[in-house]
Amino acid sequence: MPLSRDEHELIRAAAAGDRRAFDELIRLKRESVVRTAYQITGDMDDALDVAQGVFLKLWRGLEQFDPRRRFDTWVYRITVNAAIDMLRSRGPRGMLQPLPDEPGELEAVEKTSVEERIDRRRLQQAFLRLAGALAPRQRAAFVLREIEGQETSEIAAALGVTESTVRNHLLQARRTLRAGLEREYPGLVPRKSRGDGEEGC
Amino acid sequence: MDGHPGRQRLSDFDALEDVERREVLLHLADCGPCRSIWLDADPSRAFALLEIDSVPTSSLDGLTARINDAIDAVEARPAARRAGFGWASLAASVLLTAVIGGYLVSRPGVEERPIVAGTSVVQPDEFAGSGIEVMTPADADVYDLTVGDTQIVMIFDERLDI
Repeated sequence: MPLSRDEHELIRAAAAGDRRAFDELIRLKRESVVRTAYQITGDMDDALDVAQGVFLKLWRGLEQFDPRRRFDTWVYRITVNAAIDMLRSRGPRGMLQPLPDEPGELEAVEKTSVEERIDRRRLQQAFLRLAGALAPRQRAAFVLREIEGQETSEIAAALGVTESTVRNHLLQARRTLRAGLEREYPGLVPRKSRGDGEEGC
Repeated sequence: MDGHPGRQRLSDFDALEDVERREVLLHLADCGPCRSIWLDADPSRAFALLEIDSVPTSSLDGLTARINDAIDAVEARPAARRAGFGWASLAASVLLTAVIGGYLVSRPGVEERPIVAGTSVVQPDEFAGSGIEVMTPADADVYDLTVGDTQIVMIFDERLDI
C-alpha cells in the first residue's frame, strides 16, 4: 500500500520533533507492530517491550527515513529484527497464551453456527506451539506473509535477505506447520471434500 | 462483503489488496464451505485468520504512554550527559597528565629526586654525573601529587615535548 499523504505529513512533522504527530503515527502503526511482535515472540509482554523499542528507534531515526521508500517496510524491518533478537535472547517460553478476547467478540461469534466457525483461540494456541519449531527467520517470514499479508519483496527487505531466501523460509515454515497441524491438531481446521464447497462459492 | 467471495477471489487470495483481504478473511472465519476450498491447497493457510484477531485496546493504550515515557527519558539523558561530560573530561585530563608526568619523573633507572610542590624547586646540580638527564626546571611549574607509595609529579614546562 503506498504511503498516504496524511501519513507522509505525519512522518515529516514527527521527524521535525512534533510529538503529537508522532503520537498519531504510533496510533496508526501500533496494532500491526504489536501483533507482528506477538506472533514472532509468542508473548504479549515481550511484544509490548519490542513495540516500545521499535517506536523509540523510529522517533530517533525518522530524520533518516527516505520518503521514496515504503514506511511500513521500514517499520516491519525494525519490528522483526527486534522480535527475533527478543526470541533468541530469552529462548522458548514454556506456556504460550493466545490474545485475550476483545469485548463484544463473543457476541459477534454467537451469530454464527458452531460448525461453521473456526476456533481462532485454538488456532492461535496451535500456531504459537507449532511455530516454536521454526527457526526465527522462518517464523518471521511466515508471520509477515501469511498473517500480515506482506509481499515477498517487502519481506525480503524487512529481513534483509533475497526473495529467493524468503521463498525458501516460507516453504520450510509451511511444511513444518502443515505437518504439525495434521499430526497434533487434526480437527482444528475442518476440511470437506472439494465438492462440498460448491454451495458456498 | 455480501455473500461468498467466489472461487476466483479465493484462489487469488494472496494477491488481494489489504482491505479486500481482510473482508475475505472475516468471511472465511465464519464460512466452512468457503474455508474448505481456500484451505484445500495448504491447511497452514488457516493461520492467516489470526490477522483478524485484534490486539486488546487496553494493551495498546498503555503502550502509547510507555513509549512517550521512554522518549522523555532518552531526551533528558543527553543533556545530563553533556553536563557531566565537562567535569569528567577535565578529571580525565588531569589524571592523564599526572600519570604521564609521574612516569617521566619516576621511570625505571631514574633515581628518586627530591621534589617539592612549587615552582623551580628541583636543583639540576644534585644529578650531576649520575647519567640522569634532568631538564632545568627554572621556568617550569612542578606539582607533587604523590599518594602513598605512588609518586605522581606534574611538571608544566614548555620545553617538555609531550
